Order: sequence, then C-alpha cells, then structure tokens
Amino acid sequence: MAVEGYRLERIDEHRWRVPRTGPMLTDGLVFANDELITHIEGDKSLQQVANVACLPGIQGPSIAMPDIHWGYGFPIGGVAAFDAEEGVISPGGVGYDINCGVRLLRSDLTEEDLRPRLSGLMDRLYQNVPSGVGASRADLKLAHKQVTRVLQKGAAWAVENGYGWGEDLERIEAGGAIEGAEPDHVSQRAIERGRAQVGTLGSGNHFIEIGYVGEVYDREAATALGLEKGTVTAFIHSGSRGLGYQVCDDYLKTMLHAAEKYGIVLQDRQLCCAPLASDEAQRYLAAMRCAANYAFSNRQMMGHRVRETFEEVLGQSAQRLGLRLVYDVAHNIAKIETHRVNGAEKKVCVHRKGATRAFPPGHPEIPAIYKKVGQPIFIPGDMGRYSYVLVGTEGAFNETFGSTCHGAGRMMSRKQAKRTAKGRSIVRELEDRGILIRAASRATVDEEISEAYKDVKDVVQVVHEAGIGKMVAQLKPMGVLKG
Amino acid sequence: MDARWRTIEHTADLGLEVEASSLMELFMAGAHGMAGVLLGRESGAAEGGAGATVWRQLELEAPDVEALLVDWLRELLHIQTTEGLLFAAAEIETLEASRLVARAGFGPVADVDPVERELKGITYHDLEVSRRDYGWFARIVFDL
Repeated sequence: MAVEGYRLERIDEHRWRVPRTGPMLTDGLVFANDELITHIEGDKSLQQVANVACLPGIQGPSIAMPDIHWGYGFPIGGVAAFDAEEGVISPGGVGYDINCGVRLLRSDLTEEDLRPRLSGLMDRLYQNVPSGVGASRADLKLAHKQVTRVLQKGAAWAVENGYGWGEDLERIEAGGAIEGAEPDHVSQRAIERGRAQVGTLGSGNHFIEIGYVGEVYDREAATALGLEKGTVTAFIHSGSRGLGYQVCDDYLKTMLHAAEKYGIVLQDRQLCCAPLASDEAQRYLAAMRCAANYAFSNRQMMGHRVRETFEEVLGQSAQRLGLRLVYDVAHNIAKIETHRVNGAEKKVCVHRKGATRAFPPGHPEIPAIYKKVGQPIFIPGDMGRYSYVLVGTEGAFNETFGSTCHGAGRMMSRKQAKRTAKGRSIVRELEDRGILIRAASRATVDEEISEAYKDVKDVVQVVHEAGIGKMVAQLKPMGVLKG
Repeated sequence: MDARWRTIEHTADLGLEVEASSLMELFMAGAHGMAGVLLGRESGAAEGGAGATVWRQLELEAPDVEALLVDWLRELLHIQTTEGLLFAAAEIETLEASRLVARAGFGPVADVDPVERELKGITYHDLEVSRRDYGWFARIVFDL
C-alpha cells in the first residue's frame, strides 16, 4: 500500500519538504517554485516521492526535481541514493529506457548560414536516421557477438567502426562506456532486439533538434563548451531502444521475486528491488550497464549521421564546420558513486529517473576541458520554445547527489494533448514560426505539442536559483525530427 | 456483460481499464485493449484486429493473477513488437490464479491502420485485478 497522509511544507523559495511519516525512512525534498508546485500537487508524483522514501537503505532525502511528474513507481524527475551495502537497487528507479539521455553538438555555422538549407537538411536527416515506432535499420543488422561488443564497449565500439571521432569519447559521461557491463546477464531476447536498432531514434518524446544559441548567460562557461550566440547546434535525445526495455522487463520480474525473498515491503510493486549486495542486484547492475553502453553507442552513431548529413547538404566536412561534440549525458540511470553523507564520504547507488548528473568544476569524473566550468548539462524543452545548457555545481553535489532536472516535464496527458491539437495543424503552426518538423507520425507531433509541457524556463530557473545547476545558454529550435 | 476496455489518463504514460464478466474474458479483453492502444484507439470491445495468421503457444507462471496479467501482456507485446504483428485472437486453455496456458493468434498490421505507438513496457504500477459485481476489473499502466 502507498504511503498515506503525507504532507508538504515549504522550506524556502525553491524547496519543499514531505516530512517523514508512517513507513517513510526519510523526508522527501522537492525543488519547485509556487507555480510549479501547483502542477506537482495536481498528480500523484508527491505520493511517489513518499513511496521511494520507504525503500531500505535510502541515504539523504527522496529528491524530486522541478520537472517532476507522475511516473510509475519512481516519479519522473526523481533522485534517490542508497547505501552500497545496506541499500537496494530498483529497475523501476531507472526505467525502461535505460540511459535515455541527451547529446549536443556545436558548430561554427551561424543561423543565417543554415536557414536557406534548413529544409533540405531536415529532409535528409529524416531519411538518414531511422525514426518512428519500432524503428530499425535495414542497412545494419549486427550479429549476436557484435551486439555483445557494443554492450561492453559502448560509444568506443561505434568510433572503432568508423562512426565518429576519437575525441568524442572523452566528451561522454563515463567516457561512453560504464565499467562492469557483463553481457552474460543480458537475455538472448534483449540481444536479439538490439541487433538492428543501434543508430535509431525511436518514437515518443525522442528527437533530433537542429537549433542555434539564442542567449548566452555565462560567457566563460559557454566559451569552454564552444557555444557562441547565433551558432548552430544539434541536439539528440534517445536511449537504449528495445534492448533497454527488455533488460528492464526481464529484471522487473526477477526483482518482484527478490523483494519477496528478502522481505522488502513495497509501497508500489513497480518499486520492486533487491539488496545491492545480492546476486539479483549485481546481475541487474551488470545488465543495466550493458544497456547504458548500448545507448551511448546509439547516440554516438546518430551523432555521426548528423555530421554526415551536414556534410552532404552543406558540401563541407564536419571538421571544417566545427561540428564537435559538446557532451553526452544520461538522465535515466543508476550509478555507484562516492558522495558525502552526514559528513562522511561513502559509496552510494544513485538512481536518476528523469534527472541529470550535475558534477561540479574539478570533479575527477568530468573531462579535463570542462574541469574549470563543471560538467555540461542539457535540458530540452518542448519542440516549439527553447532548451537550456547548464553546468554542474557544488550545490548539486552537496544537496542532490550531484543531480539536477532533465526537461520541461509533461503537464498534459497524451490524450489531453491530442484533444488540444485536434483540428489544428501543429506542423504548419510551427513552420509559421520558423520551426520545421519532420515526423514519422502525426499522432506523435500532436501528443508532443508545446502546451503539453511546462515552460522549461521555469524549471531551469528553479534549479539555477536553488544552486543545483548553473545556466549557461539558451538554445532555440530551427528544425525538429520526431519519431 | 460484453467485455470492454478504455484508456485512462496518466501524465506521461497511458493506462488501460478493462471490464469483463469472467477472468478469461478479462485477459482476452486486456490483450485486445493493448492492441487497440498500439493502434492509437481509446476504447473498444474484446474483438477486432486482423485475422490471425500466426499462432504461438504460451505457458506462463506468476506469483499471482495481477503479475500473470502483466506477463501475458508482456509476451503478447514482445511478439507484436519483434515480429511486426498485431494480436488478433486467443484460445485460453487454462487460466488459474498463477498459471496461464493459451494459444495466441496474430495477424499482419494493415497499411491503412498502422501502429501509432511504441509501448516500452507493461508496469506493475497501479496494477489491479479485482472482482466486481459485474464480474472482473483490471487496470494496467504502460510506459510509453
């Protein structure tokens, strides 16, 4: 049964507490302003924050970012850390789309340079990157053995096979391959699903967005990231595709049995989990890391396709266009990290379910080129407004296990969004505002209308003002490829 | 009563509520409902879909009837997504609280009525299978 009778009390302008009650082992901590908290209270996400607070071995509070919304089990926009020995790991705390994440490329092109060629670029992108429901590749079907190499090597597998540049790897979270990935713990079914989907976008909220830097807020950080006002960028949002969904599915079943075996009381069965030290947890961790590496490779291959498409349409090499990778970061993942808890450093398993890692300047896990400014963070908005680039902060490291928000957060259900879009041509409306849409399905475009999302500016302002992320730049869309 | 299903609102995802006079019909209607969701429908009866051309034998065991319903839908979703087929019919041979034996039939997806949605998974969140005065009720939440 879910936690009953939980309350919400204000801490300061951007922080709210869900005080520990009943079976909760710790408080909930929610980041939001007055307006966002009314949306948050409108669905079941606070209940889910309270439910997560009941899981064994939780360290610090059960945290919710300002883009939090009702998920399944964990809220989307939730962060929870568990003691590496006494705590648990939950596949529901990572989600089906393991290592769903975002990568950003920058260029020396200006918006004006690209505008006359934009339509052609979007058409070619649509042809070059398989997208839509169940998208798979007709040109590349890997043998089982090759899939296992992808699972171990991640983005490096793609680079070794000619998809991208060597320098890309240091600009990816964990270098594009999380250690401890063991393909033996990934089912044959999952591997089969992964054979023809590496380098595919998928559907739903996944996208490739061509845009430009609209505003710069922090010149030093923007310069370090290679972002200059008016220059063109490419955003890629996707994850581990069917392989990741299958890993989640397989281990949810395992964890349902494990929770019973280890006597863990669940407030929601989707929170099923196992003690981190158990065989079930270690097998899931090994398989989840494989799926995460698959996702890094997937985005690496799409990034390569984006470069090729720019080359094809603009007749210049990607090097000459300066199409460098800024960074690639996960927002659905569980990682073993060292954090300071109650004054002492300890190993914890941080679940980020719709939350982005936000490590501060100087942290050993961020690339040397960003050591001074902090780890890049990308917060996509909806397809009609804007997105944000931030960097990680000490505040995030101290308060949220080095985590921040991940997006705008849905406000409308998909049914509501479709009703709102009925009788309108969303593609035409966006085109009138200079944003070209290429999409495999009209239904997806309707479900993803701007009105369905919170204004990402409000979300980003909360994390910036609360000190768990630092605004660097705003990106504006020019063309969006949807699944 | 005739078995029926309808989608329910969920901020990020999508739920399905199913009503039927028997547990067997509930499982059948749930399968039809999931196929309807894939096609972008919002409600329907325990019928429809293309004629079955491919049949698969399924034998499932789960800790309880709720987990069994999730397993049943997972198996059907797996076949639909990996083989590009759509659930059309089923012959349930055995349905107990924790065990299901059935033949599931699938047909091709019609060009004029394509699959509109990708379901990432069938969750245990808010899951319910319960007796009601009219028979049986189920609620399932999908991850989209």
